[in-house]
Amino acid sequence: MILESAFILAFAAACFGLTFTFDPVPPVLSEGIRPTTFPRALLIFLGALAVLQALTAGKAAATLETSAPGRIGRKVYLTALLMVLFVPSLQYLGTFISLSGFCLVTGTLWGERRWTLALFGYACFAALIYLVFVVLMDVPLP
Amino acid sequence: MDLIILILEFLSDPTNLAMILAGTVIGIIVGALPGLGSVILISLLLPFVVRMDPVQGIALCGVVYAATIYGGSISAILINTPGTAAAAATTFDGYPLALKGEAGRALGIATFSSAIGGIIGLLAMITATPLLGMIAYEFGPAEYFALAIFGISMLAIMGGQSTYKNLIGAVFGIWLGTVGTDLATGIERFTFGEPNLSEGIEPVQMMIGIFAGGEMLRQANKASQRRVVLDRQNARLPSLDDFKRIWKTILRGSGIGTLIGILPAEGGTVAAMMAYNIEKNVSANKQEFGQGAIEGIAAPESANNAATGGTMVPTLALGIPGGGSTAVILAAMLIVGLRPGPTLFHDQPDLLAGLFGAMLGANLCFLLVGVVGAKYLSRISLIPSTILWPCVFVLAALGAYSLKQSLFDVGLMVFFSILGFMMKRHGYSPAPVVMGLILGELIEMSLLQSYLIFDGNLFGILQRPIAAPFLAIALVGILWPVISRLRRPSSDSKPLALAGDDD
Repeated sequence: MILESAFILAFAAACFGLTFTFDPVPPVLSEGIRPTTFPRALLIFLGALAVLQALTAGKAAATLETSAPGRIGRKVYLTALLMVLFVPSLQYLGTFISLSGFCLVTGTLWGERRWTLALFGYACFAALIYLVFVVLMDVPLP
Repeated sequence: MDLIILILEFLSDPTNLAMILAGTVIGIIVGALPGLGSVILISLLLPFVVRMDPVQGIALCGVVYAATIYGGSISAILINTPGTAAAAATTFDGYPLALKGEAGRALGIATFSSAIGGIIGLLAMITATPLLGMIAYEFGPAEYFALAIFGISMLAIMGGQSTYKNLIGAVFGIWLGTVGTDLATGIERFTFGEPNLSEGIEPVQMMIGIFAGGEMLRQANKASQRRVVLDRQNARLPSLDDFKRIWKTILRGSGIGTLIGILPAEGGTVAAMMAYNIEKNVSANKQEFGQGAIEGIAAPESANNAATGGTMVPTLALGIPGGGSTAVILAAMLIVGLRPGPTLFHDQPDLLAGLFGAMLGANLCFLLVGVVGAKYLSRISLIPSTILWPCVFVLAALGAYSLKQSLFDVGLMVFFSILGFMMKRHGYSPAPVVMGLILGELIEMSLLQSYLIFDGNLFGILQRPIAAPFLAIALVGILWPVISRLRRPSSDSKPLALAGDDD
């Protein structure tokens, strides 16, 4: 909990520092609340909440922590990586190759071995995507 | 009278009827799929909703919201896994009754109770929303500022997990709302020179990512479960004897659900749990609870469906969403150019009529679809997660892309997916973040306007008779964990852990 609060505090401090890098407000518009005031107030409040959270972290908070799931599995990291890779693959490989690749690789990673069922399911899904996005919504997919 | 004519007009349009039928079937299917739910479904529908007629689009959101909550009961009864958080209490007696070979009776009672509860909740919605809207007619920027702070603090206090975690999430959401160009001065804030961020963070990409993408990563962390559907039978509407046993239960559950739904930050999950516990205490058949009591199915199902109408009241009348689903519906309204609040019904009376008509249609429709098709729809819950979730992610990514045909938006969606997963893992519910992002603009704008109205003295807000009590309650709520700790050192910010994101 302390580590969590420290992370939030650091985030708030870093963003607070960033507010000093905003462009200056033209003199004509300088009356009223400045564009830095509201975010700064928010970030101070965020920092204060992080401190309060750390201070009030007692037995109940410890219970919350223990109820959290254990380690993040390898499957999660790999799925997140596949999600990230899906973005450039859309640009370079196009929608349907990326879609098929993502579904097949993720499905396999998650333990799917019934290839006929999986291929049939993904093919139906690709057809649905084409129908909805290209035919019905007229969205130019990458 | 005008409203009734508008409702009939809406329901007489074949396109609307087709939309209600399609939305109900999709809602029931998604509701029956454990892991998915109304928040994810409405988030995924947003890219389509923005292309529809505004009233039809919002009505579709209402339809799938109502149908998804009902759909959760099917898997709760047949596979002992609630499709939505709101159906968790239905497993207590629904599954044991199905185990006794009476799955059809259990499904029938759930379907009937859900429909009646939903209709009672809707009647409350159509009555209370304009009334609350009339009160809000007098609201100025100070009142809206106070109300938004009040709504966020209530969600933080009662929204499950710890108060501070929820508040941190909400403040983070409001901060996300400051990213982009400041409308008053044209100064860019937290954009890091990225032109795609100058218009700010779109709630759609954020919601799709944080709910759908985040849930996919959570599913990846779970061991795959093999589900077995019990004895598939057709749903049977309650017999006269059953009806005599449950009619009072349904009315009680509907009343509880409606009231809980109207309260900010509460929703179907809390309503269902509360209705179940109350019914267990007042019922003459206490000993049957947990072993297949039909009252134990009727109470939570009537309550969670009644709450759908209740939660729409503060969302429509004040623009303060009650939870995850209504926050997404509110975002949809803002995107299609509808500003919730007291003037909405004056300017757009067809919206309330359309929403009421569509949700009423959905309740009647799932009564029919549930009785005829629950047996078949239950098969949907057997779709393996290895096939389902990759498809959900691709749909989410293409939905995020379709709004502006921007790959940056897909990247943003992926970023929020990972963030949503990490947040939930550490006990930070995504709903307050979404609510913060949606209400952030209202909070900053009303604060700016109040500053001008009170000649630079923001303490003027505290002199307003409506704003001051709201802010006082919000302050007490925010400080409550500290106060309670000072009074009783052992009673920290105890997690309620009742509200789910599906509410």
